[in-house]
Amino acid sequence: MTPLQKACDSAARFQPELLLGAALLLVVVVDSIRARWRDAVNFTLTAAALVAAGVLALQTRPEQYRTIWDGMVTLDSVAVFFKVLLIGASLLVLLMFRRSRELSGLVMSEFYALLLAVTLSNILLATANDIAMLYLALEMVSVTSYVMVAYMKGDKLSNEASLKYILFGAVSTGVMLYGLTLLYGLTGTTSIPGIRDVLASGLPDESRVALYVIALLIFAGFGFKTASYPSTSGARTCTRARPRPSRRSCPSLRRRPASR
Amino acid sequence: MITIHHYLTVSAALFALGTMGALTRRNAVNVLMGVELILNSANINLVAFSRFASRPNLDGQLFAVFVIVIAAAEVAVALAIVLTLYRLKRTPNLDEAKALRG
Repeated sequence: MTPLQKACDSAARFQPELLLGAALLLVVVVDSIRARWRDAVNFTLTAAALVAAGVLALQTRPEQYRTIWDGMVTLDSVAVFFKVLLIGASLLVLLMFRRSRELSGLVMSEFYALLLAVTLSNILLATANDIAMLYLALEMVSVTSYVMVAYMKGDKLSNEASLKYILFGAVSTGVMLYGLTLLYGLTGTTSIPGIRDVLASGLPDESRVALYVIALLIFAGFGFKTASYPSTSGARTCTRARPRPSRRSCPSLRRRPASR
Repeated sequence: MITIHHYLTVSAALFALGTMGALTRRNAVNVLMGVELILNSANINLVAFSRFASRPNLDGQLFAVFVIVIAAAEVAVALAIVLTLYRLKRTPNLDEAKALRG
């Protein structure tokens, strides 16, 4: 297969993501038309894109595990499950925001664009098969959620939560990135299955300490970003600040800390 | 003769300085400068490993380009938020943003 054929083949199996990306651009374009109906159009557009992407994700279900884009993205039944789950969650967030009291006076089109971006990047994060792709998707999720937390521009709490989230988030991704680069140095490849093969074939004993340090660095970053147990402070800050429904898509938030 | 150890030493020093800067500064812009140092230490690592690997490959260099782009995007968003903080509270100092106490 020539590289072009390979790219076309990958693109054919990448339809849900491409659709979300196209819808995101379209929402931005419609938003630039300063008409009163643009919010309603964008809402319909976003909902339609999410539903269509969910249907496409179900249709592109592969028979067995395979990778596309030269091993950057996986495509298997687990990937399809996560795509449908994440798209469903975004649809719920969209419907909840339509009724949000706190955001009733604001222009919502930008929020729809952000929601589509966060869905797209969550999907890429769930299907990443290469540490470069993993980092890229994680940062896209982060940057869009920083903006989502700060959506109420004049609100002090919203601004402060976003500032704290972005500073903690930036440091923790920096730490994680440092760990990922050391992992690349240790194994000589950025592909996750490649790293697994190198690690499974056994490392010399002097590399073991390095591996523990790498694991610590990477889990420190990931722990914060996914709001896992010891590092829930960022999630708590975001959930206590306003645009309330945004807590669902805060730091990849699915859980809600009990109380402060 | 410059070996990989020299690069790794520089990168570890940058990482330590960046972490220290991010943790000890009061001014939000200085904290962001610390974050930049951390990301650039990772870039040095990537390029050095890419060059000195037993089988040299370009994966690391490609990764480093992505890291540079992402760092620019992240800092743009962060500076916008710091600017909003300044507009609301008339200060860039982080310890004065304490409404959430978290």
